[in-house]
Amino acid sequence: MSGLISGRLNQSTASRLDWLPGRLVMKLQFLIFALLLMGISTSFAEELKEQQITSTYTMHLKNNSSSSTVVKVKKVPLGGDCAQSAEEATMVVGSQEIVSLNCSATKKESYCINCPERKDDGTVSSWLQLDCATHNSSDLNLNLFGR
Amino acid sequence: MKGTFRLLLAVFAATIVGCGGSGSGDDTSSGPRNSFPVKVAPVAAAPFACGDPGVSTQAVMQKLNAFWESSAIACACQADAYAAGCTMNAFVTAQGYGYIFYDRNFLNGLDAANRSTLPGDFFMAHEFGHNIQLALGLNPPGKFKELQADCLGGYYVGFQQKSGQVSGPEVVRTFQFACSIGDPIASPWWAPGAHGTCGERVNAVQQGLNGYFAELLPGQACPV
Repeated sequence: MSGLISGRLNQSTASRLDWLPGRLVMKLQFLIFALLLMGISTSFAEELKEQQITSTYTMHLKNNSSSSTVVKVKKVPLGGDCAQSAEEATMVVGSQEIVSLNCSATKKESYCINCPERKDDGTVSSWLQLDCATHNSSDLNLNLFGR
Repeated sequence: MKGTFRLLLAVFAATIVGCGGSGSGDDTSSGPRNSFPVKVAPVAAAPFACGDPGVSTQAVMQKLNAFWESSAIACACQADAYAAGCTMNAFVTAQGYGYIFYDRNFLNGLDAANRSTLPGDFFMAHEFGHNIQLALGLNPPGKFKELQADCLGGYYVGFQQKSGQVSGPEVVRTFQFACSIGDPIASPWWAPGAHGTCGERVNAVQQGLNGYFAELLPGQACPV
């Protein structure tokens, strides 16, 4: 009997003990730790997201002329020589069509663009150099065809 | 008058010699320079509507500005500039210092006819030469103003050729173009619109080109 009473008492005592400072501190510590972990992971994720956004620059070129044209594009280091050999892409851009050019913000890059159809020997004399950082996310309305 | 020319020449040469280019070092360095600090830049709003230049013209302006360490602006002529004489032409005015107004259709036709942009680029370089004259206060009389601008244009063409950016046939076509826009032989040199005959214009372009190849400074290659 006493045992039962004693047992009840013990149970009651135990449940009350759950709220004694020692255990309470332990639970609070766990809670704070969990919250901290959540906070850190959230801010880390945001930082990562921010890095992903700013590590790529995008330029939008719109062919503002009434004709479609062949455009040569190559990526060179910022301030680099457009005439230097580098891998170049050739594309046909229709009238009013928009093309996107991506480059790395961290690498300090620029794009050289040229509309070469008027040269007999296939070489190009004048490349227009566009700095990625300056023109990031800007819409450049360019007359790709002609003067 | 002659004394004034010599003074202006001295100022022109001293300005360009004295400032020191950023291209390939100081005056004692060997090899041709890539740039000269003339610092042409607009100081006021454009006197005529400024149409957006195409990629080709923007590209040559970028090069000319780098070569002359300047920030001049090319404007495709609009109705008001055409009314002021832009048709089949390009021009610079003292009021429009730092700008070059040009007939887009004329340059497009020139590019297509020559299968090269160099003659058209020379055309812009000639106009840039007029901006250089304004920047440095050079004012040769009559056709000598035009011939000096031709020479400065030729100096830039020399840079293009020496740096391997244009081919020999393109340079020949540029000379042919310079000849084609020459005055009739009987034109008086003092006439307000005189630009020089075919021979004079070709010689002026050649003088500038040779000057660059000989590593002369622009003021030495193209004296007043």
